[in-house]
Amino acid sequence: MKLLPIAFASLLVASQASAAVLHSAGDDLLVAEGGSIASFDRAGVRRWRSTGVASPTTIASGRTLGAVCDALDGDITLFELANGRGSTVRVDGGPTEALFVGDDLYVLSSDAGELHRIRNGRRDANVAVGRQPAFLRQAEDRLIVYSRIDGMVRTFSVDLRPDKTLQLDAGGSDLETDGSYGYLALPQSAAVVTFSIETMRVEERLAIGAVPVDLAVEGKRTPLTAARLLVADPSSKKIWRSEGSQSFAGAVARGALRGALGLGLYTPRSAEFPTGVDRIATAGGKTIAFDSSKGELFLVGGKKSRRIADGVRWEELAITSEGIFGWDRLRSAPRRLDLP
Amino acid sequence: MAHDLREIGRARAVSRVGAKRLSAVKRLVALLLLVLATAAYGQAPRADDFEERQGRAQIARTDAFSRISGHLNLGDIFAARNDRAAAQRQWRIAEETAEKERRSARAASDLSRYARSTSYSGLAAAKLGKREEAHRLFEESLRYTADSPSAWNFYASAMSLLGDSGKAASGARNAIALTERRPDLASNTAAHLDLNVYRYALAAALTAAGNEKEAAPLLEGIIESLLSSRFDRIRAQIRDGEKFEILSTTSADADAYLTLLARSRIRLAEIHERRGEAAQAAVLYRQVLDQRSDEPHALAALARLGAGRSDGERFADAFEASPFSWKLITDYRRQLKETAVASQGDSRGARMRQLLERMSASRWESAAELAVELREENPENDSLLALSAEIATRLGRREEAERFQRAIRNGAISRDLAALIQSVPNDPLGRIRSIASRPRLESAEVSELHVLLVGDLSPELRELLDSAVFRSGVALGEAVADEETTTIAMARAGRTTLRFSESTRFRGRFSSGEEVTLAFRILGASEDESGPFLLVEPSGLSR
Repeated sequence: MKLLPIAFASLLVASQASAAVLHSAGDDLLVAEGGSIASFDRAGVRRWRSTGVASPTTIASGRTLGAVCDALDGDITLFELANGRGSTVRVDGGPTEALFVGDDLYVLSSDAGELHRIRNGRRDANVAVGRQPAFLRQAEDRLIVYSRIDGMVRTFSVDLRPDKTLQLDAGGSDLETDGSYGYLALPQSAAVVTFSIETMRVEERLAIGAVPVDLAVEGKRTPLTAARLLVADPSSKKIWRSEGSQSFAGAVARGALRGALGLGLYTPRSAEFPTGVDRIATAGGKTIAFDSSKGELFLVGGKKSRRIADGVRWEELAITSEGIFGWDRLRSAPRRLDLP
Repeated sequence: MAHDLREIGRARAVSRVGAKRLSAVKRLVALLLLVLATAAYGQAPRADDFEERQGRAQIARTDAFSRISGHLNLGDIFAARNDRAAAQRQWRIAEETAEKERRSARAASDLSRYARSTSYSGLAAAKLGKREEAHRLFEESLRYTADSPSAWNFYASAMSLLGDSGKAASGARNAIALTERRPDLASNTAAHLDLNVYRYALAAALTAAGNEKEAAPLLEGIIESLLSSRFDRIRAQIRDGEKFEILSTTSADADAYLTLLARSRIRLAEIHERRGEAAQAAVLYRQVLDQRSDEPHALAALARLGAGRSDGERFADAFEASPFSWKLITDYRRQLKETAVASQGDSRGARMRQLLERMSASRWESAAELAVELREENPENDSLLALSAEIATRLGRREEAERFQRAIRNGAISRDLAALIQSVPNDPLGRIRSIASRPRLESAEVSELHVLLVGDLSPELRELLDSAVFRSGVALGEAVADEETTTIAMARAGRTTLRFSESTRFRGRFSSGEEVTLAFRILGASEDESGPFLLVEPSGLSR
């Protein structure tokens, strides 16, 4: 196993320092540090730098705007992606999750149990979303919010009109969607629940591994394949890979097509790791897994995995279609990891 | 639906032989947080070394969580005594031990142990003031335990320590919501005890946020619940076991019950005090003392409220229980402004009172001597360092004062001291000139002159004193009169003695204690057993 000759080892030493937060936005990489936000090109050259929040925790980007959130102090800096010019908005209770629909920003206030919309630099609408909402996702024209305490999944229109609800278990550790289905990881009960976003009904409750904690949806649904679901299970030291949910009709159709093409049923392989990986992300055909207790990063490929860096932090990584980028603290610039 | 069933089947096999499913968070965690939450509200002082021994016994145990708890609790005990440096050493050890435990648990695929040790790491980080680190660690821990009330209570305690009462309240509300949903709540006494623990954490967070309107009924509800028949069995255990201690960390319901009841009463009493409802507060404090006679918060509060026994007795009890409590020190100094006291005894509490009494009487040099003695026994105590810094400032020893000031770790004490030192004039010469220019001094100004002049005098100051004549209202000391003159050796301006350089005969008949105006030059300032005095040369006396 070859470790990349990248200066990430130094980052481990500095692990007590404030973390940077990386985010990929189109051709740019956005990097937030305490008090600042900066944009870099993929070669690590800085385009601009601007004032940010004190303790950045999340970055989101839209069509022309970006936002960096501080879940500790409740501040959000909104900025123009082109030049960094921006303003600050306050959302009490910690903006823990954020996403843009166009240039409208939606943020979860976990402590207040609210979903806010920020339009034209101002909070213009909000809605109650249950106690301790943890995940905010978008599926076409719906927003999906899951509350970790009451276990409720709620959907809303983009103008924050409540749509449907689905009662699931409390204590979910991740919620992902492939656009048609939602997937909720339940580490305490070692299960992943699949539900239809259209009908808001549970499709399946699948026992997976020992402690399934993080999810990623790999690939896109095609007539031949469902999206694949990746499940990080640090206790089993594995990434479980299964096909995501599909409608019965879709499954029959795919089976028929595969049979016609002579492919047989697809049985994706799960990947094993020397350590307990608990984070997973996928983009551009690349999948990375991460052990946050050690700061070790792996490239996932089929059943094999390769350790590609250590001493890193998850929030200091950005996986893009053009590669995986990390924050090089020595150079104060993002740096592409050369993959084997 | 096509899932990789073969792999998942293997996963279950792995689960049996290596990987471990998450297990429920232990109740110990919940009970531990009870005291951690109280530590945040007011630096609960400790009456004796009992809790310290308990903490050290925990550290001697073999399991990591007992050791981590022991170090956290010892840190709390030292912090309560305002020994911040020792506290931080203990918290750092707890942090390191928890970090090792995290890594070991992950390597062993024991995610329950991993989540728990991550919570401990977060708590240690919060105690050490590492805000972002604490948040990051709790975020990680709650990924695995978000459906656990104990885990949220842990989070609430850490947020309280970090001063984020909004997040603390939110965490406590989560713990309450999850517990209230338990199907066995109605029949489970332990679950009810836990629920009251979480309600207490919420009340603490609300109080910190200034929301006493919601906090007070919560506390009343906790007390009512704890005194209900539901807890008869625990009360019987307490009676049979003659339990009296209020522990920092415990897995025993009886200990948790005692601690929770005492803390709830104290916190509710404090709310009554702030509302000016002294009688209701005193009742609650006395109930706490019925449970434990040396509970320092209650002792100090009753001394402050002036309820029951004499002031001296109440403060004596309170100082014996908690000699370095900054709040008690502040209260006693306020009391001394109204009444001069000369305490006896050589216990630590008695000597602390004597130190404050000397300071109150502006006997700065003798206060400095006693402070040295107390510091030798408690070299890193923040309260003593602050008092020493103040004394050094009063004596004009700025460098010494700054050295003490730099060593203080407790932010609140440091701020109080900075404000106090700022009030001591930087330019004593200018201030004395200003006082000298006044036609007639108030007794407070005479006292201030003593403060400004005690210690070494610069040549400029001596020159000023040689030429300046002060006039002040005084009460004459013993006056020996004949037909035309009166001989007098001293007078008093407030609590400052004006001792004449020699007995002086004044024209006219004056009587002892008579209030007159004395004109005098100052030769120096000092103090002895009778208190602070200015050595003066009188130049005139008038009615």
